[in-house]
Amino acid sequence: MGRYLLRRLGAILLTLLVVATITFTLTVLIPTDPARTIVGPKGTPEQLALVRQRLGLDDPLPMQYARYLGDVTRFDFGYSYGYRQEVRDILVDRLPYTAILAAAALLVQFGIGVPLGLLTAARADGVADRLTLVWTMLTISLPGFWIGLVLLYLFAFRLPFFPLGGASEFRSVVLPALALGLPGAAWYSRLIRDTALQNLHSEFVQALRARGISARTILGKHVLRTTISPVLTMMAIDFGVFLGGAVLVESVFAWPGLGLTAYEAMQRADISLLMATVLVGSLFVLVLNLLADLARIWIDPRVRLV
Amino acid sequence: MSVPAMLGAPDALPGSTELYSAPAAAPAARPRRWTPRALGAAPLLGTAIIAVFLVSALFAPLLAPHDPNYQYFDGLSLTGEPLPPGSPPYLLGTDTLGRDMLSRLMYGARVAVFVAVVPNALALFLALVVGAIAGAYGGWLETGLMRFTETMMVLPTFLLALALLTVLGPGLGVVVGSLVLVSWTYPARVVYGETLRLRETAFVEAARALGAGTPRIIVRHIVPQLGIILLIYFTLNAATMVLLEAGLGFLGFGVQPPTPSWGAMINQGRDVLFWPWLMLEPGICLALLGTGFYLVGTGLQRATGSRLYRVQL
Amino acid sequence: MSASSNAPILEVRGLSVRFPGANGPVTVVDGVDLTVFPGQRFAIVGESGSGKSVTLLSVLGLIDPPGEVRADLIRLNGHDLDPNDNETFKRVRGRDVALVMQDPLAALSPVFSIGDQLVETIRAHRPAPRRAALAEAIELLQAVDIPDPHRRVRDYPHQFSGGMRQRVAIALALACEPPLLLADEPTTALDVTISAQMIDLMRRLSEERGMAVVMVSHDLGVLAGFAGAMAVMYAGRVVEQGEVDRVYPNPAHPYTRALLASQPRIRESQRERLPVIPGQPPDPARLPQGCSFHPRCSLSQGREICQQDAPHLRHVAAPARWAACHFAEEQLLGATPARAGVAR
Repeated sequence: MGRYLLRRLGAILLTLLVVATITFTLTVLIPTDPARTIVGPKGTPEQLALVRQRLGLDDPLPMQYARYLGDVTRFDFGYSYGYRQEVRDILVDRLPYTAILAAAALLVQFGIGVPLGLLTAARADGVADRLTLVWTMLTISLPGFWIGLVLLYLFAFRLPFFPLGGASEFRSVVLPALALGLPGAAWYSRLIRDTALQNLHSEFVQALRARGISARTILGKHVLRTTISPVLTMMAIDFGVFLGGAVLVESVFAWPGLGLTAYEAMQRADISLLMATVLVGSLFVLVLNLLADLARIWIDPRVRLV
Repeated sequence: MSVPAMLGAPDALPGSTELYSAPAAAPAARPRRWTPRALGAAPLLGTAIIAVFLVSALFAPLLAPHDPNYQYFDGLSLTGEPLPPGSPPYLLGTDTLGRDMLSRLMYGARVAVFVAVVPNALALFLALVVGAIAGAYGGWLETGLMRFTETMMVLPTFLLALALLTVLGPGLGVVVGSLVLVSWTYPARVVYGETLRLRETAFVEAARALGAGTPRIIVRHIVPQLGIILLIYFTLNAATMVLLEAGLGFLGFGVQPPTPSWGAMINQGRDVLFWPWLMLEPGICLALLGTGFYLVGTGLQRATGSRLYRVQL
Repeated sequence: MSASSNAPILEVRGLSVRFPGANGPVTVVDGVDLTVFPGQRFAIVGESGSGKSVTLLSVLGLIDPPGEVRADLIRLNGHDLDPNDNETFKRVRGRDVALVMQDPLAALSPVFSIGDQLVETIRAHRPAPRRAALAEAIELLQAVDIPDPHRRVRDYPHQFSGGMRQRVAIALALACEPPLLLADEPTTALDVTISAQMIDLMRRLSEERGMAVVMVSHDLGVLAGFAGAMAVMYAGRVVEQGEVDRVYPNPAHPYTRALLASQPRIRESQRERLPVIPGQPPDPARLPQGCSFHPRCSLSQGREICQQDAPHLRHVAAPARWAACHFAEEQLLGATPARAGVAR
């Protein structure tokens, strides 16, 4: 286990290195001159030269790269002129909100997806199954941000049950969590249904039925265990997708998380903030992924440590 | 933001084990022919839906009742508000600039169809190349390629794509590239799994015994067998692509005006929820087109797999 | 040996099972009748595809759609079971009848200890506190001859050998002391010495508990010394039935005769080739017209009635013997030598 952890941490560091290289390359590729942006259109050539020297823009690329890596490792992402704050501080403020939203969305996703999946597996081909199939297909075809807009329209605008955005109350998280989690819920309910149904056809379940074990125990105890494993595997990809979805959903609801940060950074072409968001987002996702893998191993000790 | 679609049971995933023995499913009747009857209603309905949008996309200049970008004077009410649906001659209403929604939606189908086909095909091609090479050659090539794929799969590629778009600008190439970036990894892994499976089959062994080299085996033997899976993936991925581009359009980084795109139209409607049709109509189009693709994709999946019947607990 | 004959513990009349096929429904079990008495040990033998496993599973109601099960009667320990009503079966599963499957690994969950699984089964039928259930579980392990049960009850299935696992599976089946045990090829996955032990164990349990056992197998070796009564199935039908003591030495149906003759035995002379039955068992979707065995039967000798009329199971010679052959009497009277009905 220790060796496995070390290997995984090494892989994470390597991946982050690659991502950092990409973000660095992108930063270098910006057509506009950052010095000019800082100094403004009326700046003198001397001021420009001074700022360039300060920012180290005239140094050879490898040196800039090394410096960049050094900064990033110390979580120094530079300064955002748009926000007038250290980027690091902005991210520290915003990251928890995304974490909360992600947690709430996961709750929606599995709180709806798992029971629905098991139910439709147990009563395959029945009314609930067919209705769920239709609902699933529609929901997966809808973008999360649009679902968010519709929810906003119905439950915040037409019927003032929820605030029109922002993160002022506990209730504020409900609509964005639904928007982020519903497509996943629909998708997982199908995945779980298919996995569980396959399982229901196994000899093992046949043996359970032959012993007279109740349907509730079969589903809730045995089948659930089997379906959790592939679900956890899928969850790994989910986190990355969530982050992408968060950009869209947070912008719809003005939810002050990493996603909104990325959106604002895009609008303002605030490159250092945007790149930092990518890096921190990647770190966030990779760590969550590792945790999910550890959970999977803990639940099913027979999973090979690939 | 939708989750990438999945093909069948996740047995092919590395690291996942089947805890229990193989299912003892009842022998199901497999369709031996691709007759409409055998496939069922779903794929037919899906094809019909896709056809409607395809026609709209191809023949928009002929079929659209109005110019999608012209701001009609009578497109706004006396108080300057957009017209709701059901206000002839603008059957689906107008937007805040007096433009006809129906025409805009029809032209928007062009973007959707383009996105459903071109980046999709590119992503699948990339997936095919990576997955087949990794599966067929083995060794460090296999390990390297698959580790790379799995890492990419986990990363927030959408964020990365946004960064790319911000720096390089939302040109068509960058948009297509971003869509490919976000969606190629999952099919690559499926192709890899299938290639591994096919590698062990008799006809590959026979080809090898006859002296065929690996590239030849890949191209002439393995790829054709992958055909049906790729087709299913194409349809499932098409829906995802359309949604992704809509997301980019919503953020203002998709296909740029003057071409109307559904995502951008939703963006235009987001601040004026009191005129809900502005964002509802393009969303419904997205849902319909996506559902069309899903119907075809899952219909094909069902036709090629064995149907699992209900188990009475 | 046959035990007391009160009311039968299991009565099946007219059991038929169909599955959909590429070209229409395929009948896998065709009009099977079974009667098993309390404490009786009954063997159903046949090749793969003869429908014997499906017959067994039908008694438990475990044949799922799209399979269709029909029966005139299924009565188990006084309960009438309706193949169209799952609830009737749920009342009896585990309690009145239990199942031992071919692959013990498939019947046990790898993530729970066998003690947990035993306790789960016990408590599914009776409200027993955990401690009492655990004590019962240990007793069950003892009853199936698992050494050191106090310790082993905490172990997981993968920590047991194949034979031991099958014993655990039997213990699970016995958990609620069912009067009838169904065993679907319980020895097929085991090697020969362990198989013999398993058969001995089941016979002993049957004698001690007065438990009837219906064992399905393609291995005729289980008959001798275990079963009192036997039924032979071919292509979905019972072709011969009777007491083992009578059928074994002198089969009435050419298929049974051929099966028995093709069993490898240690003979005095090793020079003769092992006799085989020519041809293959028929595809249930395309059964031969008339008697389904006639293309492979050497008793038939091309007689027309074999090709046209499917023979019904009828009494032959003795009150408790049945065979489905037009010429069963020829077989019995020894008109043909003992090795007839068999190709060289």
